[in-house]
Amino acid sequence: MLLLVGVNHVSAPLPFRERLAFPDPDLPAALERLVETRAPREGMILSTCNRVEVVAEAAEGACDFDDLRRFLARERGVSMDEVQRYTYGYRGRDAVRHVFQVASGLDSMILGEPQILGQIRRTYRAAHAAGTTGPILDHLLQQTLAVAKRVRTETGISRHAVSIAFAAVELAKKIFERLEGRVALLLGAGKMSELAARHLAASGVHLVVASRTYDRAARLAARLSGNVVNWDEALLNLSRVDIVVSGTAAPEIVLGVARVREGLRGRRGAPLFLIDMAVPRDIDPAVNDLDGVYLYDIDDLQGVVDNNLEERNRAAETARRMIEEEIDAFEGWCNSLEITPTIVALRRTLLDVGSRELERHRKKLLGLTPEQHRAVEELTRSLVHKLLHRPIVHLKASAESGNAGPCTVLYREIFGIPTDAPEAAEPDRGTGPAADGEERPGPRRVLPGGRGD
Amino acid sequence: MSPLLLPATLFCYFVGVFLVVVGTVNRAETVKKASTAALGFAWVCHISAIVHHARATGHFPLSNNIEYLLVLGWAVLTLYLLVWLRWRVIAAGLVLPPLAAIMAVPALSLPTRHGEAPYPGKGLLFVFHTTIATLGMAALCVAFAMSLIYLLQDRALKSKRAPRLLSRLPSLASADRIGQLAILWGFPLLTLGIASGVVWSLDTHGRVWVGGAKQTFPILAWVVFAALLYARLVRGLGGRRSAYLTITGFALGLLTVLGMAF
Repeated sequence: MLLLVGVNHVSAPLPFRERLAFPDPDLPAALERLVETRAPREGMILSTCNRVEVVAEAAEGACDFDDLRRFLARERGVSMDEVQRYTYGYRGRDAVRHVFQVASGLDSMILGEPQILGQIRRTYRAAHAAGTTGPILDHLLQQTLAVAKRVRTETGISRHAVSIAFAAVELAKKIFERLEGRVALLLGAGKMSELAARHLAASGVHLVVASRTYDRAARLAARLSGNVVNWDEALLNLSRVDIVVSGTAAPEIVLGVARVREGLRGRRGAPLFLIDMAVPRDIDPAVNDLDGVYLYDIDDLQGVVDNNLEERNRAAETARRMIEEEIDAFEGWCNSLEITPTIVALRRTLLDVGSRELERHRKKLLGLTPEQHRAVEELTRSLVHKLLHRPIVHLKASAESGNAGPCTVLYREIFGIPTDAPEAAEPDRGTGPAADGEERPGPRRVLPGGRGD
Repeated sequence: MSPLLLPATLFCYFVGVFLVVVGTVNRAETVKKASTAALGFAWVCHISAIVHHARATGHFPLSNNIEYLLVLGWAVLTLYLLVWLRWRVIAAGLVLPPLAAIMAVPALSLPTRHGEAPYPGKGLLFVFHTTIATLGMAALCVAFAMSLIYLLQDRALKSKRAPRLLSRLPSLASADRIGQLAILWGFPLLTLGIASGVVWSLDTHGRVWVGGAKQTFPILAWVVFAALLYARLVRGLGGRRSAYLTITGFALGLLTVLGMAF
């Protein structure tokens, strides 16, 4: 049974999340303490700036939300009252859904943000290194990464910029395709325009900074690792830049139609992208009518962002449907775990009967050539597999309908398989989903240096 | 014309274009791949229809304007598939495959049984002339499609009222670059096509100028593309004006084909 207890940016205020967060160096020891009591058999801890979550796999009734809450309170030195107040808890199917949603960015502050996936990968690696994951969490994580990838590629939820500065970069790419080697002129020293310039620079754009006061421009250029140019010179040399980001405090228009038209002359048909981040505006709106000039002011960019948010919301709807399918797949896998030991034991028991009978009739078969002998052995094996085919199909069907328990008991009784056989010692930690008849007795030890029994 | 192959071709086009539209709107990679598969089938059926027709009639299938359009359609689809595989511009699929399908439609009227080939002017020179002219026209078709996309994207960027269109179309730079590449291939082929046509005309009719749309429109198209290339490469013309010129040149080129009927 999977259990999840945690806090996120919605359920808990920042000061509490800060106190609850696990610093990286503390994680291995905390993970070991989580599974120390053997109540949770597997566990991992996701700790990011927006969320802290404990995921545990435990036998039915061996562990509950409050055990995990107590663990959090003890580990981070916070009161149980607070933990009770701010945490949420999910069990079974709901826990799986939550993990899938978190990984796909559906539970993030910014819908569809992609960083969380890397954090989940790190979380899993830490738990794996500490030896606190097992077959269930291994499979859960494997599937989580696949789900997140599927959501991102099929719905494109993270595709569009949801901040004004990023929206500007995205638009620049719709004009120039590649931004490497392009030149952007930053006019003035507004906060928003500086941020947009910073994002452009991160995409490979070379920055040129101009301000009415040279010192200010020099300081800004140093911060953004760009070049400084003289204000008047900058406005006269518009033909040399591809993008203009403007954010001056000037009350009047800084860049008029005549000047932009002049600048276009030297551009040999190449487009010019103007981003006006200033209020009141720096660039005459009429320049947008010139061929090859694209002007976006702060409202236009906000419009792009709003639309992108809408697209993300639509994508999230599709993603939620996908996640339901994936939960079914995970549940199916978990159910198959329950019957796998019985299937393995069934095959082994009947194959044993076959080889015993062959042994008993060895004398009568002495006259056979080695080839004929092999054929008889093959016949015995194939008979066993044929006979077991329908029972196994029936067992799998019962697992899918959640009725595996009584069925496995019945088959074990009919075929005389003791329930304390090694395969059955820990039925839901058994030999993995591959009911391929290979013998893998006992619970799987997936981890190097796993916790001692 | 085979009674089965051409309808099958048109059906594949229909499915392929439908998937291109869905793939462009919801941008699902699987749908885009499915559209390529359907258009791949269309490509195979289309070339099979051409080969079947050529074998049934016993002549090179570029001898009248219906055949010419049929082959041109196939060449256009081929170029679309190349553009998609190389640059992943699915939006080109909204223009080129429908155009190719429309070009294949008149071939439905071709007889399913054939008597003797009544067409004049066979021979290597004619084959060379028509093949080159078809390839050139197909390349100019791509230039036309990219110009349309350029104009749409330009409008989306300027109006700021079509953000969904904007995000689904390729960037101005790639539309422009692919369009220019298509003209750089199409123009020399067009030139060669006209030159070989002149030689063929001299050979067949004994004079260069026989008049009519068949000769007037290609020369007008050539003049437009020559001016466009000069303006682009030497004077640095770009943007909407370049796109409008490309569309004009292509329209003149297409009139040649229609002119062949008269």
